[in-house]
Amino acid sequence: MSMRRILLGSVFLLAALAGSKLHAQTKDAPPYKPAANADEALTRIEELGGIVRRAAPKDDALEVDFRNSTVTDAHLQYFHSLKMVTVVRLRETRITDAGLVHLGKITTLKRLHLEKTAVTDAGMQHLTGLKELDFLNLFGTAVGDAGLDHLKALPKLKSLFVFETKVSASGIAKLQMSIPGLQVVPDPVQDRQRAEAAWKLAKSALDEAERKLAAVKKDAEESAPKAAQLKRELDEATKKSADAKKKSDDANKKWNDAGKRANDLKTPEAKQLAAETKKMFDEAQMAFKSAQAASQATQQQFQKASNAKKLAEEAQKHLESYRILEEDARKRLASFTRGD
Amino acid sequence: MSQPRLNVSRRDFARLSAAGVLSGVSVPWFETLAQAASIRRPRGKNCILLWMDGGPSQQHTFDPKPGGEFRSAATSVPGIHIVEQLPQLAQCMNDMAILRSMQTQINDHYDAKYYLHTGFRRITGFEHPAIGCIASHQLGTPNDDMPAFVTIDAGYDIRNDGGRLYRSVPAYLGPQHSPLAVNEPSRGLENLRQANSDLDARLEMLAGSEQRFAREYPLPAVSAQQSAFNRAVRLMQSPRARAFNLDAEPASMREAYGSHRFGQSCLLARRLIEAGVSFVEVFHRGWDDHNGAARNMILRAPWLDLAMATLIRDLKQRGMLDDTLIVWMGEFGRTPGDGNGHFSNAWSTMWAGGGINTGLVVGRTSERGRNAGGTVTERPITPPDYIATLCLALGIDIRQEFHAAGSRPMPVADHAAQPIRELLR
Amino acid sequence: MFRNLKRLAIYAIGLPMVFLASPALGDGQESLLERDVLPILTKQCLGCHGGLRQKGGLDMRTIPLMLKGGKSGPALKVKDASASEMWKRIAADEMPPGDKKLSAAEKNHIKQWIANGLPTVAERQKNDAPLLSEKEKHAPKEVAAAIDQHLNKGLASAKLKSVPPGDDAEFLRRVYIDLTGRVPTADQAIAFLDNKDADKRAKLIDALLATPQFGEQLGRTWRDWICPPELPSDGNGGAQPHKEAQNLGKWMGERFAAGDSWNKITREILTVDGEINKKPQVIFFGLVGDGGRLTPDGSARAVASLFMGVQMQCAQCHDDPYRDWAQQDHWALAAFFSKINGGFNKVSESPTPKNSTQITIPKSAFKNSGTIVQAAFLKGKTFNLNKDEALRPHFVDWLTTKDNPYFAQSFANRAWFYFFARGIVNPVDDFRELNPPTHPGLMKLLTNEFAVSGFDVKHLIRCICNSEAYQRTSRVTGGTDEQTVAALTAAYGRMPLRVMNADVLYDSLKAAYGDPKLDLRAIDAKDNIAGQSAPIADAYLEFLRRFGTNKEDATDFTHGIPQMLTMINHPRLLSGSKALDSHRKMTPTPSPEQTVEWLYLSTLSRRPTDQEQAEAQRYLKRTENGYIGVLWMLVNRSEYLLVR
Repeated sequence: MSMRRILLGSVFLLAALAGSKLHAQTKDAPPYKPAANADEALTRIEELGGIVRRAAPKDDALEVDFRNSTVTDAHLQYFHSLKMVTVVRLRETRITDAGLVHLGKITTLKRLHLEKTAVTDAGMQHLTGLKELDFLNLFGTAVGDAGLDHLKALPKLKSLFVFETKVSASGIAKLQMSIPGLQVVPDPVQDRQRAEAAWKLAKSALDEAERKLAAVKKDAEESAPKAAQLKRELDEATKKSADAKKKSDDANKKWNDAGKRANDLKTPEAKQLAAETKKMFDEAQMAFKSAQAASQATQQQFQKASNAKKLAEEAQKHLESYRILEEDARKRLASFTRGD
Repeated sequence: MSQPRLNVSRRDFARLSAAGVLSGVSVPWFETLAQAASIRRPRGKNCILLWMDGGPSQQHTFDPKPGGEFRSAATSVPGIHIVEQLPQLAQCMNDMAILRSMQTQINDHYDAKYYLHTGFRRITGFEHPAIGCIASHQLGTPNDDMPAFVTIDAGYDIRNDGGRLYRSVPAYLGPQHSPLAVNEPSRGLENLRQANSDLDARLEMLAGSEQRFAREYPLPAVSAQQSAFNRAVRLMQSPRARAFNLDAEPASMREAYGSHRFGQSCLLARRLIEAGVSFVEVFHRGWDDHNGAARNMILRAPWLDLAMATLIRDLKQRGMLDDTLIVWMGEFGRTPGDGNGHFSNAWSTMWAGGGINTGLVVGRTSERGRNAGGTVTERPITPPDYIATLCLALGIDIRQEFHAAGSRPMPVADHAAQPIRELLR
Repeated sequence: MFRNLKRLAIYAIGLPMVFLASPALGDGQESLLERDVLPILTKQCLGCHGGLRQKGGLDMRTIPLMLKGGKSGPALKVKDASASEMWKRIAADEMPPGDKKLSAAEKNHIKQWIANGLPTVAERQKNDAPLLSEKEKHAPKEVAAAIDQHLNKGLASAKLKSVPPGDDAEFLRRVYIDLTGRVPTADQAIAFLDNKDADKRAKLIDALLATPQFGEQLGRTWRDWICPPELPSDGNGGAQPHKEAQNLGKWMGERFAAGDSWNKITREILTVDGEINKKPQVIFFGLVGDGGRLTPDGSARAVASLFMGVQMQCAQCHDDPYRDWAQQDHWALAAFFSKINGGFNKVSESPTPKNSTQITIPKSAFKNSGTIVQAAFLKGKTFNLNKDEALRPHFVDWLTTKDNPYFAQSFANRAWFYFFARGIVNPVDDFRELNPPTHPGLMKLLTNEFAVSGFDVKHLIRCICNSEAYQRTSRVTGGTDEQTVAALTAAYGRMPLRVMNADVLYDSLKAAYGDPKLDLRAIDAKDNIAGQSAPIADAYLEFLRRFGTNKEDATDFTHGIPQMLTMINHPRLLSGSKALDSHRKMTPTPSPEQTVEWLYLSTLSRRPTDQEQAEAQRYLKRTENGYIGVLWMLVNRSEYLLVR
């Protein structure tokens, strides 16, 4: 444990104690002091609450993450002392167009996050030198079509984020003409297409569910009166089956006795009797089996008939789910038609 | 048991390796980077794990079969089909990857939950850290205002509980990597709000004695206690902690995620990631459909489809999807056909965003026969493969080793793991 | 526990410091095997030339093995580094292969060590004999004095000066926490602080050892040593035997409180036969087994670690890469536990037929599965039965004899670890030749005294608590540098500052709030218990889970945001204290100053300083919350959560 950390502990406690004043304090960033070299620049960046990482595992390229830091425009001059910076994250920081002047000089930059900052159309002109830039996030900024116009100069731009900005569909379309392969998010055309496809799918599922419901309902309606009749048939069949079983059991017993006797006496008469009783048992058993099968079949029919109602209820419940699916998809599609 | 050592906190060494890469160096920095090659800091990736506790059916979600209970439907990626009950999600397929060849061996709920959260089989007398805790250790910024790992309980609809809920345990990574739990998304974080009004006065009364005590006892335990205390107070006062409060979200956005508790949990997860949390696990319970998967899945489909599709689209339009991996899974799948039973032999998970390769399917299950989907026919994925891939996708070095009790070297992912290369860029 | 890949590096720098104050090690200039060379070998060599792999036929775990060498002949030539194969390869950076080579300092250690004739710590320390005879039991104060003599010898040889004794308040709170598992009440504190008896400390130790809380605290400490807070469970549903584990702790506590000897308690656990509702200790084998099943290897591992002080877990699957345990040793021990059946609820052992005390190494071990191993006492003779009998009693007979090389020293070392946050042998379950004690004479002294007293637990603890070492302050004199503080603590020249464990914190908070059912679970969770929320365990389990501490190092503060938020904001901690209410009722017209003083006494076990009193009074004038705000402040103090 270094003494440095112990001191830090106390500092934090003091800061915490300032209560609501805390944020005012932490927002007071250390002023910009020129960094003599890369090391110093890194140290200063970390003091501001920035984080430096490798941009990719097997690469010397760096990512500088200023989210939740106290960075201001002037601090971006630290990038002059760093090489190979390819990713810069400035989400929700206090930087403005003035800071973009410094960022515009990081010619290695591939990915830039400016979302929820105060940058505007005017600032975009400083980015035109970023020939490697392929990802630019402007979500939640005041940038509009005029700013987008400057971005034409970025040949490698592949992903542009303009959610909650002043950018219009035509502005997007114009930029996409200049930079082939550029994906803009949100993309109103594509999003609408997908919303439509989703709705079509949901609609078809709903239709199918309705068809299914109609079928089971029909089943249920048809089988309701049948159920009573089937119940009577089932009782009868069950009784028949039970009778046949009794007969079969009796025959079995007779055959057992006769067989035993034949074994004891070993007379031809006895043997003959045994053979006859065996035959009678076989017949009785066969009758029982067929009565049993008939009873089971009736049982199934009856079950089906009485289940049909339950099935219809369940299908009705499920239809609700399909309705919601369809409704949600329709709402989303409608939002594009309204031009949201 | 630990080895003989100084009264120097081990966590300092962890911190040195995590944060010290670039701080306080006095040699030219390129050289430093070269030297630090083995302890490089992971990229700024985050993860939202959507855990369907009990085991969701693959044939009723992402791996429909001809003649199955659910019809399959085309997605926005030609050639890839999922069930028709997820229409909006189907249109997000470009940003999704389906893993259809999970082969995970364990059919018991709890052991499977453990295996799929850690990449190691559960054994007695030893604990492996959960993926969320690993992410907290590896991706979290030490001493940040926000916690690195948060779990959100999205409740249940149908009480088909799959046994005891798995709790993410940090094991040898240290309790500071335990998750913070949100028990009810609409209420935010437990104990975050001041229980009484005069906190400032109480803190002021506390401050003097704390400073005197720290001077009298300039020792690691004291500074660690004070710094944890200060972090908690800072979190309470931080504007970033507003992320825990769903009421701060515009009504239109709350509606877009759906009013279901799962949708609101997904929205909370997005807010937390946006505020700097590295790993959020949302668990929804009651997926152990022993009474048939179809009837329950159709009831879940509306909120599941809406919440997940909105989550993907919302992250995307904020430019966060590339940095945020969404993982949807349970501890296993369900038996082919009706989905009544547990099934670990061939099941599906779904990943989205995160800068992985998307718009694709990994692995394949059998198509024909009475037991279609009963076997993996291409690229079986084991839990070690799975966790290793997850770590790599988050930028975590899987070859690094930790030392657990008894000098036992423990790799982040099992040595036998074969990461799913086709997912990684 | 919380080690990163740097742990071995910690080993490397930690070990020399620990041995700094070892008597008879001189000035620390000489390179010694265990202190200087072994950390390098462990980090760089044993992975490939140890128990797991022997590349080139070479095993470097012990000096004889290195002298024997591998395919290229002996690795070492005594007193001649340049003729030693090992040095030649290291010097040329041929070894270790890969990027990470030995530093100049590390190389120098190896070279010096060979040149000086392979000296070891053990050899240098062999004359450090115990100061008391092993033939009879001694009076606690006599033993305490001998403990201090041993430690002072070490301090002197390291040229360290111990800190002064702690004041009465410091001792009071520490000894209450250690011996009863909670801070003293205000009344208890006043009684001690205002007592003028010169012998009051010894008397307090005696009094606390006689309380049931002493047993309760030691019992739950052992429960925590036996099992982690997340318990094993049966596969599918995952129900954990929490109640049963707690009952095991309670049962052990009752035995300790009753003064049962350690050999008696050990026998009752290890030879248990029957049902859990009659014998709570039945759960032991389930807890150390696998998913509720009793496993011979789980039992062997636990018995080795808890009752013998040796680590066997690596040897389960293969020869230990770092220690001199063979896989055979592990399974020979496991054989004694291979004939028991049962689960969480019962344990039974039918007699083993004579001449069949073998075990087969199962498939799960990745080396030598299928090999048949004969039961044997660790590093001793093999064991067979000449008539049909249960096996475990024979093992316990061997284990609990007075002269058993493991049993007494293992417990004595754990007891020392409990009070000083570090064992004389460290880790506490890693006794072996190449991990020597920092104070061999003291280790023998404690072992002998414990054995000759008939394994009298209270006697051993009484001896330790009466020592000056235990009663020293934990305060650091201003301006002492970090290195010196570490060295002083390692030499027991100062008491370490420890973190209250969950049980102690919970009981202390309950007392401070006068609420035996104090519940700090999430309010949300409780509201929702019938609705759609996660299953939350009972208040005690939830507290244990939340406020668990580092069991291997009590000086390591590991609480983070969830724990601090609970302390800061849980409504219960601001909603009134019954203890305070009843105090105010009992005390006629107390002044605000008296009440604040009472609150300090019941939490920090001392009276407030003038400044503290003034700060509290200033607060009381400013707010309507009143005394509960002061109590909140006190339980949120780092001084409260720590054991000075």
